[in-house]
Amino acid sequence: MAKIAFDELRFVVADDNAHMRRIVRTLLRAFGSREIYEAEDGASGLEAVEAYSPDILITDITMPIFDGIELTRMIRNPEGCRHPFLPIIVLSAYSEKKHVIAARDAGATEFLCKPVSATALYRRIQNVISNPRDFVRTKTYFGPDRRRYINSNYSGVERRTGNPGDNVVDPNQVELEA
Amino acid sequence: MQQHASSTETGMTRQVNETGINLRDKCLKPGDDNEAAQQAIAKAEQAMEQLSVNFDDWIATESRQLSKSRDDARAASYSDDTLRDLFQSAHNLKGQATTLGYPFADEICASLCRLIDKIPDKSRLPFLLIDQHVDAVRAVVAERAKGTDNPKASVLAKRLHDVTGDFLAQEMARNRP
Repeated sequence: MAKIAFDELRFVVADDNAHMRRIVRTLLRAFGSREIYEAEDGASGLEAVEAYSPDILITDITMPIFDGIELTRMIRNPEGCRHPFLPIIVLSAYSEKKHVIAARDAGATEFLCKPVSATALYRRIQNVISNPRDFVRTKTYFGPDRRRYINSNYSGVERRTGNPGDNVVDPNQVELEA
Repeated sequence: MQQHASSTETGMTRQVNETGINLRDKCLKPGDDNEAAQQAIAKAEQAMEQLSVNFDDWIATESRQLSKSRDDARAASYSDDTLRDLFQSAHNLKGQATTLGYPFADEICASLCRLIDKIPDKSRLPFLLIDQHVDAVRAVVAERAKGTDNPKASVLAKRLHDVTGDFLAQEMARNRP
C-alpha cells in the first residue's frame, strides 16, 4: 500500500486550448502537484520537456507546428531528446481506435479520452507510477512494451525471438553514451 | 547519461528502464493508496466545481470561434485550410463541452467532425448541414442547455446525428466501385 506524493512530481501539459490547459492544471494542483509547466503547441512542448525535465508529460494530439503524436515520436528518439523514457499520457478528444493505435505506436504510455475527469486522470497517473512497463526497442519502434497482457488464445507464430529471459537487457551490458 | 540497448536484425530487444526515471521510488510514500486516491479525487472535483463559474463564458468563447471558423470557411468556399480550421474548432469544442457542462454541444460537434472527416468527396460537403450543426451549438449555448435532460437539445443532437449518418452512408455507397 502506498500513496502518491504529487508534490514530488513535475508535469508538462501540452495543449493548444487554454481552457483545457487550465482544467488539467486545476486537477493536477488539486491532486497536490506544485510544478506544472504549460505548452501551447508541439514545439513548445518539446522545449518544455528539455527545459524542465518533467516526470510526466500530458499532451493533446491536435496542436499547431507539430502534433502530440509527432511530439511523442520525437521524445522517444534518444538521438533527438534527452528524455526518451519520459512517461507520456496522451489526452485527446479523438476516441477512434486508429488514433489510439497511432499514439501507442508512437510510444505513448497511456491514452485518455476527453472529456477528462478527475478520476480518469488520477487513475492514468497512478498506473504510470505504480505499473511502469519495460521499454522495447525494435527496428521500427522504441517505447513502452505494447503488450499489456499475454493472450492465452493466441495461436500464431511468436514474433519475438528467443526466450523471454533472453530479451531482457542486462543493465551492465548496455552501451552508455555521454 | 543515456542508456541504449542495441536491437538485432532478426528480432527485438527488451530494454529495462534504468535511466533514473523511477517514479515509484520518487513519489510513492507509505500510506493507504485507496484513501489517498479518494481524497485527491474529491479535492480535484471540488476544485473543478470552483472553476466551473467560468464555464459558461468559456463555452460561449468556443462557440463563437466555431461560428467564426464556419464563416471563414464559407467565405473561402470551404478551402482545405479553412475546412481544417472548422474541423479543429469543432474538435476543440467536442473535447471540452461535456467537461464544461454541455454534453449536447459535445454530441453535435462530434457529428460535425464525423461529417467533415468521413465524407469521401469533400467537394460534396453539404453546407446547409454544416450550418445546421454550427447553429445548433450556438442555440444550445445561448439557451444554456446544460446536462442531459434538455428535451429540445436532445432531439436536435439526435436528429443531426441521424441525418449526418444517413448522408454519409449515401455518400459512401455512391463512392463504392
